[in-house]
Amino acid sequence: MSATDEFVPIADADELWDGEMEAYDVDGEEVLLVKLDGRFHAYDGVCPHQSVALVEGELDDGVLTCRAHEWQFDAATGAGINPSNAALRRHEVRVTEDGKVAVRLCSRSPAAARQ
Amino acid sequence: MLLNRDDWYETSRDLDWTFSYVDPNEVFPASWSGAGDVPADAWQDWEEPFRVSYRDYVRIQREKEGGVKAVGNALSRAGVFEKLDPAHLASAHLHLGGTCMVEQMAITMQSRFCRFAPTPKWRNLGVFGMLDETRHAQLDLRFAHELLKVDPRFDWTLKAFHTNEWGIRAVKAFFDDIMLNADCVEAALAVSLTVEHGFTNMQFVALAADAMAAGDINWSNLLSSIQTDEARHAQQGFPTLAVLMEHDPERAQQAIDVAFWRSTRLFQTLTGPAMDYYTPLEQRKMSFKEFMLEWIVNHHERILEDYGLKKPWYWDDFLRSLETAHHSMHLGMWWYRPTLFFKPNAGVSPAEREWLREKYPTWERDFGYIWDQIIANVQAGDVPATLPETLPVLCNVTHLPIGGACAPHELAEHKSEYKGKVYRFDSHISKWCFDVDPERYADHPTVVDRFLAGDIQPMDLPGALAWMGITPDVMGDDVYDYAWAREYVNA
Amino acid sequence: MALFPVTGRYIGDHIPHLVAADTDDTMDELAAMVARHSVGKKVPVPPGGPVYDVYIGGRRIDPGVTLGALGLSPMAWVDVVPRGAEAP
Ligand SMILES: [Fe+2]
Ligand SMILES: [Fe+2]
Repeated sequence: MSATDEFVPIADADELWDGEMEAYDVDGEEVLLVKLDGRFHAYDGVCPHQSVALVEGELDDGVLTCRAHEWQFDAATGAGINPSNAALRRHEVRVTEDGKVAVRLCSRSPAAARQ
Repeated sequence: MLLNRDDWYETSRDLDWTFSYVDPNEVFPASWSGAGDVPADAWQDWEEPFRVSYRDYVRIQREKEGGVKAVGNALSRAGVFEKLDPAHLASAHLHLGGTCMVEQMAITMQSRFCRFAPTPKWRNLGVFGMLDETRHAQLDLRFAHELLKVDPRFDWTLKAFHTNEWGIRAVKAFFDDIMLNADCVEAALAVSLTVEHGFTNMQFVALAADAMAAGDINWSNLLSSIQTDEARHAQQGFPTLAVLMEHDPERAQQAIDVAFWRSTRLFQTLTGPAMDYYTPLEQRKMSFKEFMLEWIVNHHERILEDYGLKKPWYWDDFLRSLETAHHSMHLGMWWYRPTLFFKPNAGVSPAEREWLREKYPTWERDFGYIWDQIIANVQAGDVPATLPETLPVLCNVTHLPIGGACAPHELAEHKSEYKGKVYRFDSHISKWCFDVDPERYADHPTVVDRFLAGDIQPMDLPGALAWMGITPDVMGDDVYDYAWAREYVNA
Repeated sequence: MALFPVTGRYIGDHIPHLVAADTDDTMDELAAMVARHSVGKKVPVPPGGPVYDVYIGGRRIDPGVTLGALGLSPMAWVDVVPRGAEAP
């Protein structure tokens, strides 16, 4: 395991307001960062439906709606609301001591490495 | 307390009852439902992934309409249309003439889902599909009507399907078959799944991106708005496929394999030339082949495999045709330009040709020498030598020219005999489509069949043009008046 | 004599054409009618000049034979190549 634990800092913790989202590039992958009730959640940046960027969609009342086809997800868990059998891919997030939001891609997590 | 949608959704959707006064088979005749050998209770498992309530539908559609209207209003004031590249305009003419009435036909198909689909869940979705397609046909007509004052070719948005123009007859032959004449199950597999989920992305996402780059913001916006509906109502195909894979997988495989090839041939005619020849070079996003590989091969086919469907048996030949067929169709369409209702760009200036060679490694070998001969004739001032004097020969399945599905050196005779008559095809795949279901195609004469039967008089090219409804104000010609050919030095 | 349409393909052209031939046409005459839509238009004039061979079903037909003598059905597929060129 590398010194950074594969966690990559992507933003300052005060960069996002509550209820806001923003997209970041992490090693060439688009990551969507969402702030809800003071907590950060990170997902794959594109909709599992037809690969449209989720950041272009709407975040309202904890529900993330894709711009293109109105697919909806629970922004706190990534679970599909409509359709319910879809889900966003979730990345691990932590806030570092110096106030940075860092993300570890799910493809880099120890669980993924063991497979 | 207000109920959530999922609390009342099924109650509102599943409107069904047990028939006691009439035979259920008379209410839902298999000839329209397409239920076939699928047991009645198997449709219980039919479940749409994305749920739609009427309330949500109206709210969202209203927003979409507002968006399209706002963009349209702003742009008509700005006079953007007059500044568009004339080569790009051919894409819009071809799209509107070739698809507006398909949207209209789709209303009938969706209405059939509303009435005859074998489960109330599907019938409910058909209502939204029917409203969607009404919106699309009307949007196209309104868009075209606005532009009539600057360009009479937009009249063909409404008119094309009421003529015998050969390309339109090819489009009509396909959609008559899978939209107007198909039972619900076949229509869901051929239209919802294959055309709408797979292929409309080519026209409505990829071509929309090209149109945006070309500065045609209004049309691009219209295409994108339509696509949001297509993506939603296309989902009627998936649960239908799931039920069929459980109870009649062979029927699903065959219906999709036929529809996939016929769609491929049509998009090689409509979308291929628009992307690789009519879109101005600097504004092309990706090549037609690259779009096909991304949307059809990587996206669409992978999803079908998740359902247990095999790739079509002709997969390798399909991939090979992505290198050749639309180039052959484009060359043929440009050559037969007086039979078109728009002005095609030849798209083979030295710079464009460089791009074609880079995107299609066999293009120069396959088609370069033909264009070289055409260029030499134009440079010698002999434009008449670049115009047709007779008809091509048409395929009895696709109604497209024989030779339009491959490179010249791959061109071979494909034919079948049925009830004492010989039928000809553009490929061994189209021949297979015919052979598995000859009744479907046998009584649909091509333009050439009509010509030989004496239906077209006088029996010459002007007679054929008149029969096709081509009038001087729309008749196609080289959009740049051959300037591209004069760019070659000592050709 | 009677009108006899064929599917005429000149080797190298990307499409075959509807060619309105006649049962009295010899293979040389038929070849010229097929070549007319392609040679010098979509393929170069052959080095040996405008003289051609006709192949039907992979078999070269003698230049003097008439179309009517072959017992074909209308719209039969006819291949035309420059004289002496290899079979299509
Ligand atoms: Fe539509
Ligand atoms: Fe549709």
